[in-house]
Amino acid sequence: MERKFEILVVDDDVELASNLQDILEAEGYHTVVAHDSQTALTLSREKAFDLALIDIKLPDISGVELIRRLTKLLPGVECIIATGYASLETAVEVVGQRHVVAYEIKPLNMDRLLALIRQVVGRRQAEEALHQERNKAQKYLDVAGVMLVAIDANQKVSLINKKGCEILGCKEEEIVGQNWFDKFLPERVRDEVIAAFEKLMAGEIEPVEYFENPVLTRTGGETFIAWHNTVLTDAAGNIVGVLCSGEDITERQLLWKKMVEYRELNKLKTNLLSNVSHELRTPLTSIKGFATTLLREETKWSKAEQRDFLQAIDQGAGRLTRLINDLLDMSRLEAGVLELERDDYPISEILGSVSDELANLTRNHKLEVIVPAELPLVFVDEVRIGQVLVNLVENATKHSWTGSQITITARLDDNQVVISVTDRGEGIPTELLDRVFDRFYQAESIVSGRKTGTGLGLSICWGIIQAHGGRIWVESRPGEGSNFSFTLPVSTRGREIA
Amino acid sequence: MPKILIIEDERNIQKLVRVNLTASGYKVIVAANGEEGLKLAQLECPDLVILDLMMPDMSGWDVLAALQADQKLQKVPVVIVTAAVRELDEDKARRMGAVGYLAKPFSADELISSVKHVLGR
Repeated sequence: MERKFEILVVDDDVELASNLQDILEAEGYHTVVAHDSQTALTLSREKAFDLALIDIKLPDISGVELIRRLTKLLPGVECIIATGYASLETAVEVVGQRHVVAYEIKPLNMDRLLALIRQVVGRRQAEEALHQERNKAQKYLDVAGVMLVAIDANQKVSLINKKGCEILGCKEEEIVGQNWFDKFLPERVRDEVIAAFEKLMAGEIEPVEYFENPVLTRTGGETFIAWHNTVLTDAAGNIVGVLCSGEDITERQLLWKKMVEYRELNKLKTNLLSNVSHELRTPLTSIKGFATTLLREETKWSKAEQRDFLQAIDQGAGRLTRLINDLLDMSRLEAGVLELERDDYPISEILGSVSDELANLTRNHKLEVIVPAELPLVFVDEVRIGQVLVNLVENATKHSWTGSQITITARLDDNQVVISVTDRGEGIPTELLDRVFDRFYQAESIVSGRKTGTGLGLSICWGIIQAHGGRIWVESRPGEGSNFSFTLPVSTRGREIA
Repeated sequence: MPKILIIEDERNIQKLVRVNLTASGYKVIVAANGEEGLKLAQLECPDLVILDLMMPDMSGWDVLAALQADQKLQKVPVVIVTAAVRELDEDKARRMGAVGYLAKPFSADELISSVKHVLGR
């Protein structure tokens, strides 16, 4: 529905003004009359007039001044000046100003005036319709969930939608007219994209329908965009620019990265499962095999043989138990529910609690333990720290040759007790040092020529030491041996005694 | 007395197979890895090979291929031992000269009866 056109008539000739009002109302225009400038300005504060018909000679302020103030209030208003011969020069001066479209000399020729007004109305309606169309088009652009940018042949942005402004973090007026490549592309991709753009403009290549590149945002950050492009042509078919729709895929890229990491982890887990399956079946084969061997009635075994088989069963059961404990510990560490029962212990007592196990593990090696007597107490879970020691020593035996030396040392360093397990084995290649504490990661042992265990031992050690607020690390020289060290917190009570 | 070669890296499983087959009247020779197994096979020309598939360095599959490539040994029947029975490609195993398999864990009876089955006693 078309709205009514609003006209303000300003004339101190009451009769003329009234006549004009009647005629204009009859034409279908909404008309308001003021007899002086002040009233005209007051009315203009309340209503946005399209057109003002102003007598140049008014009782209070001159028509020229009125136009100046009026157009300040209503930037969209247009004015027609009515003037007598006496003020013609003044009127001519004003005409040519942006808001003044015409002047009419009194006495007014009503037909001429009406024709003039119709012309103004017609033009304004057309302009409004165009404006509305444009608004509608902009709305279509703005409702799009993607960024839309048009770039002209001079590399300048000719259009951007709301989403585009959001992504770039700039206002429309800060974007339109700017050189797209200089302002919104990171330097490292700029030249390459410009080269492609120039070729595209020259019609040398077809538009690449899909590509990804980052844009620079106001904060200097980068947002990753997936682009779809189409060239813009004029009526004659000449290429005049390119229209690009871009989707923010920063999040998608993050998800992708996470998925890749997840896949890696999954692969490790699958390896773990297959390792676990093998690790389970090997001791299980001993248990089942020797148990059924003893159960066979066809063969009579000597006492010594029976004892030997039972020992193999016992060993298999021990290996299974350790494996299951490792798996449980790992899942506790992953779930963050490893509970520590901490108390104050001397290092010698912790070592004593696992001495049998250590002796058994190192029966084919030389174990040396160097613990100074004056070390303070440590505030730890004795069982867990014992487990770390056993794991590290077992690891050392797997990666060093029979008969070689394995050393456990303890020392005080910066109010922490540092315990080290050193072997003279094969060592760890430098590039693998970062990975040895990774979950499920297994280094192949040259000594035994295979990967043994589940790949959980060292990551369990890492988790236990972390839970104590300590640090665990490895130093190694390939061919010379490895040195695993960890720190333990000194007991506060111990410190007081010291 | 039929001669059986065991190629197995786990010491307890070597022992398990050895004591049972010895007690059942076979002559048993043991190799702890594939390379050693092949050497012993050429030297001793066994009547049967019991071969663990999952071994370091030279896998059981490599050993099978090497046995197949050796004119003197390609007719020797092989029983494979595997922990991953579900993943076992039986057709491939048969093509490469395997006549049967033992899935870990296995009982002494299963071991002995499969050997008897192959050696026809």
